[in-house]
This record gives sequence, structure tokens and C-alpha cells, in this order.
Amino acid sequence: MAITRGNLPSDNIETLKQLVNQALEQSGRVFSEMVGNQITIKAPVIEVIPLKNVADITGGPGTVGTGIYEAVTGNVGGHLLLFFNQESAGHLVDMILEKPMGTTAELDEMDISALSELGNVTGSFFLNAVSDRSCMEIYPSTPVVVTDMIGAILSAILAELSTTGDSALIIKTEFVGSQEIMGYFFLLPEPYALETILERLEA
Amino acid sequence: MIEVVKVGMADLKGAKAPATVITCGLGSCVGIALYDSVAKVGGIAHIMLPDSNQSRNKENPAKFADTAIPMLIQKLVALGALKRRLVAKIAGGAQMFSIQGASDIMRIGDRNVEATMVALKLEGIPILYQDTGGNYGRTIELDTCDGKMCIKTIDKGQTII
Repeated sequence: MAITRGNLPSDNIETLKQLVNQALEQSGRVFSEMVGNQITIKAPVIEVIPLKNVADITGGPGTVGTGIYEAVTGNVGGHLLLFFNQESAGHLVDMILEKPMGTTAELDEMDISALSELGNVTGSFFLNAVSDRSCMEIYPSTPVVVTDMIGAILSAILAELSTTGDSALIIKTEFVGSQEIMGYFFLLPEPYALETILERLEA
Repeated sequence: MIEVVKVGMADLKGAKAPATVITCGLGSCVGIALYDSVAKVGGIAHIMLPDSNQSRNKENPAKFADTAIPMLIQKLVALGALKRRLVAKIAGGAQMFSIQGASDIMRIGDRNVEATMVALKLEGIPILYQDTGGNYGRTIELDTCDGKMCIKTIDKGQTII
């Protein structure tokens, strides 16, 4: 029985929360360093939700924003997505490339590469922390940056997860900064990925 | 007041004029709009996967091209449509991003479009218009008064067909 069916005991949720918290702390630090501004990553919420409601987290499938996606591979698989509303994505680019606030509207190649690098360090530090604790090899793919409707960005990921179930365990948190940064960090593990991690943690 | 009927992911709905049927944020998913211009009955299926036979979890027929299309036809017939008068307009099936070494799932858009075309052919429903593929999302709105479908994208404008 996969955890994605919603049968995760609360002890396990606690263990996962601790692991995710520690990992997010690491990635939050490098994220803030990279943008040169204090960005807080909120305490993560771990929950099992129907796949059709995943897009509602950000305000419905038609919500437009910029996603930084990384496929997670190695001993366990999954999907990692950072999603920012368009204004926040612009602000992040301004911070990273040290441009005056509000300069970036449409993303050009340079901006996309800056966001891609942001995703790269955030994802790598997060997954490294999880790897270290669980003694597993977990790697992020090269990030892909896409500006579109969240429903469209998530569609292939949700399609894949839906072949085994109609709900997914998702770990989400929000980025909050002094400069109007509003974003989400989604981690959608493949079915059975969490059991594998939990087993390693207990071993 | 025109009724607005929202169709979610892996969902399908039909309506009788005056009503607009909408589905938002199609990426690799395909939106299949069927319409009977005499009865003024139409509906949309928002499918995520091509084939129910390849899935371990097939509880929801609206999720797959092969099972959603017969189900939508049934629904429209119940609302007064005639199957032989139904015509189709389809949109979606994009590949939002390609990742080297990633699984075949990233090609899911193409497979969804292929399966949709096969399922419609099997039912004898002609495809009047098709806007599929590419690497961008689409939102579609079907007006049941005239069967016109509006396709909206974030930076490729909108088309009414």
C-alpha cells in the first residue's frame, strides 16, 4: 500500500517533517544568499490531497506564474517544483542580477538562467540534506524554467502520479521575503518513495 | 445570465445552451469538446492519460481518452444530443518541458492526442479543429449557443474557432 493512498501514520509524518524542515533550512540559507535578501521558507505542510486539487494550492489551474522544475532521480524518484507568481519571479531576478526592483517583467534568456541556477542550488541543497540523513543517493535533474498556467506546468507530473493513485502526498511550503516574494515549494514523491526514505531513517 | 460550467482535471461535463463550458490550464492533458448544433448541447472532457488499459488505477473513467469519450457522448445524449450529429474540437497535448534522461512520461502529450484521435474515430465523430502540441498551456471555452470554442494561451494570444 503506497503512502499516497493516505495511510501515513502520524509518527511518520513527524519524522518526515523534521527531515524536510532541516533540508529546507539548508536550501533556504543558500536561496537567501543567492538573492542577497533574507527569504524565509515557512514550516512545511505535509498532506495527502486529491491530484485534481493540487493546482488549487496556488489559486487554481489557470494561475499564471513561473515554475522551476527538477525531476528527482536516484534511489527514490519524485518531482520538485518551485512556483512563483510573475511579479515575484521578476523580483527574484532583480535581486540575483542586482537590478533595481521592478526592472524585470518579461524573462529573457539571462533571467531564465538566473532562475534556473536558483532552482539548482535550492534543489541540490534540499536533496543533499535528505540524502545525508537517509544515506541514499538522490539527484536533481537540470532545472527547467517555464512561465505558464500552473495546471499546464503540473499536468505531466500529475498524469504520471495518477497512474497509481488519485491522490498524492505533497510537501509544500511558501517563500516569504521583505521584497514581496510569494512562492511555493512542491515536492511530489513517486509512490513508495517515502516508505523507502522512512525505512532508511529508522535503520 | 449564462451559466458557466467548469471542468476540472480528469473530469467531464455537458451542458445545454445557454451555457459556457470551460477547462483551464491544459498542458499535456487534452481538452475534447463535443457539440451538437441542432440540440445546442455540448461538453468537454479533460483527459490526463491515453489508455485505461495501461493504468493500474482506473477508477475514474474521465481520466483516460479511451473511456472519457464514450462517457461524454453518453452524457450529451442524455441532455438531448444525437450521437451522429456530434462534432469534436480538440486542444492541448503539449510537452511543457523536456528533460534529458527523464522517463517517457514527458511525451505524454503526444500520446494523449493520438489516443484521443483513435477514440473519436472509433465513435465516428469528426474532428473539426485541432490545436495540439507545442510547449505551452491552453485554456478552452465552449459556447453551447453556437459551438464556437475559444482557446486562450498566455503569450500566443487567443483563437476562436
